[in-house]
Amino acid sequence: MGNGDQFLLGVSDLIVLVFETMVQINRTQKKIRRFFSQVRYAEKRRTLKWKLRKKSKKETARRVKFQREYNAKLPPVTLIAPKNFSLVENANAVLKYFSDAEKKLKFGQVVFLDISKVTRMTPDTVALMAASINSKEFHHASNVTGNAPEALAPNALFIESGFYDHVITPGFFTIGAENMMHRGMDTKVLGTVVKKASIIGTEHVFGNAKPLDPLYNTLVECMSNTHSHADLTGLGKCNWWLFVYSDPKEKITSYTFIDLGVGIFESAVVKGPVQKFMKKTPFFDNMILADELLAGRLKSRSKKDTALRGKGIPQINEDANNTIFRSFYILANDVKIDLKTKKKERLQYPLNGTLLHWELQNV
Amino acid sequence: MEIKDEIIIAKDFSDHVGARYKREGPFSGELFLETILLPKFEKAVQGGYVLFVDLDKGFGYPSSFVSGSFGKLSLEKGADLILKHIKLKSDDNPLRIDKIIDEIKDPTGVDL
Repeated sequence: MGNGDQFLLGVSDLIVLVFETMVQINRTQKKIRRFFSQVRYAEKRRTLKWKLRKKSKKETARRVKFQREYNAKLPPVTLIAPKNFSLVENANAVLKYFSDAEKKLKFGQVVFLDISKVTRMTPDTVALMAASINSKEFHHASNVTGNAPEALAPNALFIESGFYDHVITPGFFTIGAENMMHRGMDTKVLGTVVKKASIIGTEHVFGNAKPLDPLYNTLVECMSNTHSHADLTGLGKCNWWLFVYSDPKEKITSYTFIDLGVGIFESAVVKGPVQKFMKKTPFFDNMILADELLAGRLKSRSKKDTALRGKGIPQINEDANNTIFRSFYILANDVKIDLKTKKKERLQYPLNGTLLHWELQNV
Repeated sequence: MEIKDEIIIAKDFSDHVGARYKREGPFSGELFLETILLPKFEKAVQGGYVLFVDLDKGFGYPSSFVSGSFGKLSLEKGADLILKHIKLKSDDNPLRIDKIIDEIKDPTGVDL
């Protein structure tokens, strides 16, 4: 080995030594920072302000727990449902009903959902009811009880819907052969479920099991949207519900897809600094976003493939024009959109989540 | 160019395809691209022949699936090369062909 090689070896050793020293210094700095932060935290915990705040928080939690326990022993609060118990037809009254129930449940009161006097009920409301009752954001670990409509038509819809499969009930009820209520517990896009739901509709409406692209595609996009956007804390964290109901009197099958996530508008990322600032304030109007949403101009939260994404809702909007759909609605947050007429309505009581409802017909 | 290979999506992959990404659920566009479309497409380009893609018997082809497979392929390889080496067939619903060709031509657009 010549002098040159020794020199090279010396330089490489020196580089390794410098690197190791830097790593060591970095580690020591981190330890020092952690030590001082622990000292600061310990000092903070000794202050009177800290102790008072802790005590106050503990007291509040104790009071809330006591109040909930006390309320739970009270007789159930009976909430009488509006006669027209249809979310798509009577959105504000139905959403107010669920909002009132949620407020009572939050304080530990047992709620009795009295729907016995309902004269008009549509499948979308059954789906909302099933999803709500099974959502902890709705029941807050309090008890919810209820009854069924007395009137013949809403009673048949309610009993045959499969609703009772998703609640604890002393009775025995069978889901109608041409109906389906599915709870997507694993939150994923399930082609098998979509296929089954499509066949139920096409067999009832058209009398065959032929593929129907707009129907199949819409269902997949609904599930995909829930997976990607319904929970702001991560992907695939929100359950979805799909309710398929075939009208025994008409060749109509209705589909209701619902997730009780944050809602399309809450999850939307707006463009421009002014809109971004305004969105954080209560003055922001979601109605402004409705057109942007339908046109696919709202940005995705995901950083992956941003150029490729944003086609799901525009596809649904386009497919909604197809004559095979008698009606098509999107309800999310405080906005209701009729995709057939493109009419938008501001809701007085928000839907905490996203609901899509459409009817398949043979024309 | 001669057709030397084919993909019958309903038979070779699934008749009920899913959404865009594998994490979203089974039979996604991403899975289709990685396991079937891309390898067969690359062979077709190397071999100088046309890959025949049969869309029939499938229940539908959602935008997210099409974008996650054909759209992604178009971004990576270019629309002209894909249209030169892929031939689509759908007797059930010819609109599927238009949809996929539109996606290949403009993978970043949202106009339907």
